[in-house]
Amino acid sequence: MTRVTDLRDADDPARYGGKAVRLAKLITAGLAVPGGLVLPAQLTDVQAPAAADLVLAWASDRAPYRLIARSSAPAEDGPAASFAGLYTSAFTPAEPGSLLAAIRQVRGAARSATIRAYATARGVEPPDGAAVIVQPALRPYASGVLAAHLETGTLREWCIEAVRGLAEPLVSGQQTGETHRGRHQAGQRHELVPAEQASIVLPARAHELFLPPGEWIGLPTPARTPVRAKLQTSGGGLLRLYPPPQYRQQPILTRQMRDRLLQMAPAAAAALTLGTVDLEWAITPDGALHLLQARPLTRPVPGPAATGTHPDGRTWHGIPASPGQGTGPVAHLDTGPAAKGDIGHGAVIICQNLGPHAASALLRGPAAIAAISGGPLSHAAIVARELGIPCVTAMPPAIASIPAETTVTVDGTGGTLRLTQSPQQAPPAQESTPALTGAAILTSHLPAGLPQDGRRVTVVLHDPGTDPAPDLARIAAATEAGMTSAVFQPRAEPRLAPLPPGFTDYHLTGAGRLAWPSGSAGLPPAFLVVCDGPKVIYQRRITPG
Amino acid sequence: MSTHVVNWLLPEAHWEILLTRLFGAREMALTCLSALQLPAEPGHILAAHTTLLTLAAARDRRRAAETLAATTGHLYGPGSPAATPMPCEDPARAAALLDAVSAADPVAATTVITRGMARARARREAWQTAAILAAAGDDDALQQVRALSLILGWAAGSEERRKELRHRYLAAARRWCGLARADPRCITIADLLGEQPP
Repeated sequence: MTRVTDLRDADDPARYGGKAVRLAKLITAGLAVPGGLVLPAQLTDVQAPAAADLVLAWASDRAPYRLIARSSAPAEDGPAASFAGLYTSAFTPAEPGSLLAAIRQVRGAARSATIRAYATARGVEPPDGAAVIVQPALRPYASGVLAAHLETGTLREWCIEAVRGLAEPLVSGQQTGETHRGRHQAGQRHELVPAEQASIVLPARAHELFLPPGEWIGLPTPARTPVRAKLQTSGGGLLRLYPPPQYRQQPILTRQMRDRLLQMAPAAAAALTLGTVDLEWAITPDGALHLLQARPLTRPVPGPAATGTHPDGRTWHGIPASPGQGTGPVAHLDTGPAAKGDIGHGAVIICQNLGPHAASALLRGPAAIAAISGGPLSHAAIVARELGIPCVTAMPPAIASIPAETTVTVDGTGGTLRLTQSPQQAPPAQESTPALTGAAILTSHLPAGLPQDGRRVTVVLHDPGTDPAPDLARIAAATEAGMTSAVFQPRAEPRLAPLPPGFTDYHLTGAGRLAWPSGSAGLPPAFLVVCDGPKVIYQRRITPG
Repeated sequence: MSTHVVNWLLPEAHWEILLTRLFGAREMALTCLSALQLPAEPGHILAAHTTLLTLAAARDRRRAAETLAATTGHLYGPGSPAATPMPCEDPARAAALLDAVSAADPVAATTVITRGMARARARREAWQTAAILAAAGDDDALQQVRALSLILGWAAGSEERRKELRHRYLAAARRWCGLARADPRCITIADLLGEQPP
């Protein structure tokens, strides 16, 4: 079985996904699509490492800026549902472990509950898996999206959004691109709105990921004069840079670049026999124009009101900061009645960041927090976690314009804020919690009182790398007092200290050691970890060796 | 400030990949990372509010307002207290803040903070235990889980402490400028140390 296929040979949507098949058609039509390989959706987890090796051999002299792994599911980018922003792409170094992890991440995302829920809502078949396209990452001068409506092969209405560097912050809704809109009518002038770009995102060369914030990085630019930018931060194979001051007054796209993009749209639409197209593109410093993705437009060509939102028009993306979901009416902390502390229970707080002045509002039980600035260690994120409030940070500034009292849902795990059509909209189904009756519960310490949750035994974690020797006498005393207790060590060595009478030392295959009360029945099949409720957050099967 | 810069460089993506592999689900990895990013002591927002609630219960309201203005008043307000005082550094504004908090059931607010922190600590312990269980038997993964657990707690604590110390330092430096008739926008370390320019 062929484990990987050249992107230009991808011809079966069920095997290679809609995105790969469309890109192959564009290559055949002579359009400039970066080369790549496709791992089919039917590839098994066992076959994935060998497929990754084939990709690495192919990429050995092709990937100066690392690789990008992109999903390509059968229904993705379809006419009924774009799945825009729901599947995952991952930048990765051209190394076996990292590439395999990226492939697994992209394949895993295709089976997420979010994608199943979206597919159900759009009335399409939920995907069973996804093919993965692996391409050398581009380090572009500019990139973006182009939405166009055509009639008999001629552009009728179009909208280009462009940012410097990668388009990731644009398509995720975190930044507003330079927007060009127009209609092809006699005498019609096109409209230009400048970008709001707080950072330029680029794929990193390996050594650049070790540079501290504040270092200078050379920007990819078609200009003859080199342009440098200061490093904000780096991670995940990407650099985030401060836009240099001279860029503030300069448009991103020249007229020539814009015209070449507008020439590309009818060609792509013709190759795919589409009447509307939604393209992702990039321009590299050598002036080359690359087509990265093409799909039918599942919405009208964006008008002025849609700027700054996700391509689906109703979702904004940020950084997940405190898990959970919350739905409620918007209350702006920094403006309007909410600025005077008038924020009720169940509201969704929208703010720049949080300080002590917000404490009273936070203690009234807001449904969620969406902060425009900050990251996972910002003050808003930390206080949200302390109080168990779902929170997303680094949201696009556009959320400040959502009218107060609008019903929205914040997903602090997925990192999104979306307009909610009705307050009754059901949240995604929660995983069922297995009963604790007869279970072995793993904890970091013995509970103060006798647990009333039906558990059979409390297993106390003893990590010899960090913990002092376990108080086995106390464990034995608890067992004698009716709270059956045991000790688990997550390593096979060292052996547990001499055990008190009535305890037996077991070796657990691939998991460590267990001091188990001999008078108790046989070993449990699994250890469970619980919190909040009690809700089972993780369980692992154990086997005596 | 240096810890702030170090925190920008934390290998969060690497840890997310590691935990995704151990748990088998990215959502669990993100939830675990989030639970572990908890300071050991309450962060500056809840700590300041706890001080506020305690002072709101004091009988001597004037003294309580002065204490609030002097100890945490510089934390209330937008921006930094480097060039101009924060509103609650003024005892009269601090007294108004105390009045507002007194009217809103300080006991209930204290209970919400205490319970919230207790639940957050329980979540951190549970997710740390879960990550260790997931890594059990794999010494390399176990060491990485230990390290990330320690570093993430420290990172969250250092961010909160940094904010508190930074504002206290800037407010003190501004007051010193007032006494020394220096311009707070252009003083140097040498000025603060009383050193003569070379």
